[in-house]
Amino acid sequence: MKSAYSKDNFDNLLNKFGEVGRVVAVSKSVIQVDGLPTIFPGEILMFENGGLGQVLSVGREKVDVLRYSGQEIPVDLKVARTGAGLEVPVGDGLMGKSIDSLGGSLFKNEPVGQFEEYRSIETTPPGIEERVKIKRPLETGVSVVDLMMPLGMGQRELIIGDRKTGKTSFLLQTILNQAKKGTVCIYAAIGKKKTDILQVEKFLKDNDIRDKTIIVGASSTSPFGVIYAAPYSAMSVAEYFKDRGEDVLIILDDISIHARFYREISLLAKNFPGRNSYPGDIFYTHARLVERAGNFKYKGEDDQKKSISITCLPVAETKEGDISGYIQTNLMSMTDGHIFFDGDLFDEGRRPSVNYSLSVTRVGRQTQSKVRSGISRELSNFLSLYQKTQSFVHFGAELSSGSRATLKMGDKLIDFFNQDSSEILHLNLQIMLFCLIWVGLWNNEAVEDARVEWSKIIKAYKSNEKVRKEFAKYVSEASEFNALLGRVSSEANQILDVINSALEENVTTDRSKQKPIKKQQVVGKSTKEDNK
Amino acid sequence: MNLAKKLRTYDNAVELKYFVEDLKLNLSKDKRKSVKSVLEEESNGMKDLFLDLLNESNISISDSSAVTDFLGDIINKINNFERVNLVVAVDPDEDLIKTVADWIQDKVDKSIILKIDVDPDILGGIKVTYKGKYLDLSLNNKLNGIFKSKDILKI
Repeated sequence: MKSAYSKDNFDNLLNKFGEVGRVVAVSKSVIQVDGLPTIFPGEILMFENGGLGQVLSVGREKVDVLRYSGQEIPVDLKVARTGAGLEVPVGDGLMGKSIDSLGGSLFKNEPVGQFEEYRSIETTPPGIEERVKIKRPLETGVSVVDLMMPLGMGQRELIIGDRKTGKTSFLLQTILNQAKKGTVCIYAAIGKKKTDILQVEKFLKDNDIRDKTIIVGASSTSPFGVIYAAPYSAMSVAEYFKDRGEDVLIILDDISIHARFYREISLLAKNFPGRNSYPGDIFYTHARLVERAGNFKYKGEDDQKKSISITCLPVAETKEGDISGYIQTNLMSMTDGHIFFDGDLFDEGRRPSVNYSLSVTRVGRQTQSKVRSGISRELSNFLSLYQKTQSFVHFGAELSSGSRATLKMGDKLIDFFNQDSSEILHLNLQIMLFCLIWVGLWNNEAVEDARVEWSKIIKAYKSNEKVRKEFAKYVSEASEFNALLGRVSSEANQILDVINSALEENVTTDRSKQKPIKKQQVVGKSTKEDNK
Repeated sequence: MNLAKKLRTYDNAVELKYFVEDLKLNLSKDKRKSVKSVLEEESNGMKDLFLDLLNESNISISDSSAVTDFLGDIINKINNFERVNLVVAVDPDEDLIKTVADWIQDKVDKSIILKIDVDPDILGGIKVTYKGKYLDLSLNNKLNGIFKSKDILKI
């Protein structure tokens, strides 16, 4: 926290500005203060007991102050101006730290240290002339997203779904993948339970990426002001690293909680309530935040870099899977698409429970290579066919062999998309594994047996450089999806040879018995043909 | 009637306000009682001041409705006083309070009262707060400024 905000500085602030205020009324989070004749909205105020607050609105006689500290604020307490808006410390020292919206330690046992630079939490979003088209893909390491709803660096994608449907797990997987690629990752915990924040921190520590991530947040027990400011502070930290030429991924978990707290603050400040009692400026409150993310022109000295990005993944919670709520639709209209986590799919055992037919990505597709866009198109078409075929089964209709093949392949693909919450898959691995499934390598096997084989391939890929190189070669040499598919189809056994030899190498090092992958006859290029 | 000049301090104003509110309450409790009989039951030090104010305003103590209006008038006036907060190092005597209050009252249009706090830590001088403006003319502040500017403490 800024040293100017220390209690000992109170008298200096009074002398510096020659103004003093007096608390006249106190509610839970909004305090009315009189005096302070030249105060401006957004200015930070210090109470005589060291507490902090921010000016919400300025009236003729009194100002409404949003409380930032937990201390008791009695009536008649003196108040001093600080002459500045809320600022958050920025610098390399933040890496691996958990800070609150004011720059203090989120967990009191971890000192944050001293910083030389401070940034205002409210900045004007960069204009159109500073932005460039999103061209670079952002890998999440989650196959269903990377293959079906691709994201781009600088995209603002809403993550939406009921509580406990795996949203945070997906976000942590994305952080894990991006942190390993060198992206600065910022997790903004907004009004979350302290145990939830600690769990996120534990995940980051367990995966050795804690020193590449920053947690900016406010727990549900923090003063409302601190919760309200959390996403803005996190965005200012993101902007600092962006201005230094580093790509940033920022997670805002979650904005619907932020909206609820802002609604409470606004009602206490006697602002006129609008739809669902939210204040009239709720859209602006979030839009001015999300607008600060994007893909920007790079102005540094590195000739290789053309653009620099802040990828923003705001989270919104739904009730009973209703994505047409007020805040949810607001957020949809200010982001570049949304990924919907479906509670029903979660209950069916799908992990992640992404509902691809209700999810949208508006700019992610333009970042894809021809191979990936081919896969994405093929998958979308096939899965919609699979869903239709599934609905026939409900009628008890006798199925043709083509329909049965579609269902079998669909089941396999759905199972292929199932992914452990701590597992990330490299894009080349996702593509090659999909191609091997798609050419029908495991058409005659049950899903469970196929899953065992896939695990072996994943293990071989992760542990063996040769496999990684081989897969990368296949993907990079392919001009388009069909070309890759043709090559994989004809060279499937050679690919399996490479994987098996990698697994054998592992046996010698691991001492664990690993059965080689059975060579299969490639049944067909695509089951879509069968269905015709 | 210049009520502010008679009261001068915030403590006096609050005391008079409580006295007037009590009087109002007692009168409303038993409407048959006269103002005089209610006042006789009062032992507050503000009684004399109140009677002076009635005299100055030419209101007869037997005219209950005029006295009731006058009570409301006093409360309104006290509520509209503007407060000047002063912090001094030693407890000021009546003469000093009178001098300071009269001097300030001459400089401003509105009726003001002084809220005086004693803080020996300021050593001497005065801290003034009026309408949100703050002025620290204390000796403590002056000495701190000298120490800071000349780095005396480092020597």
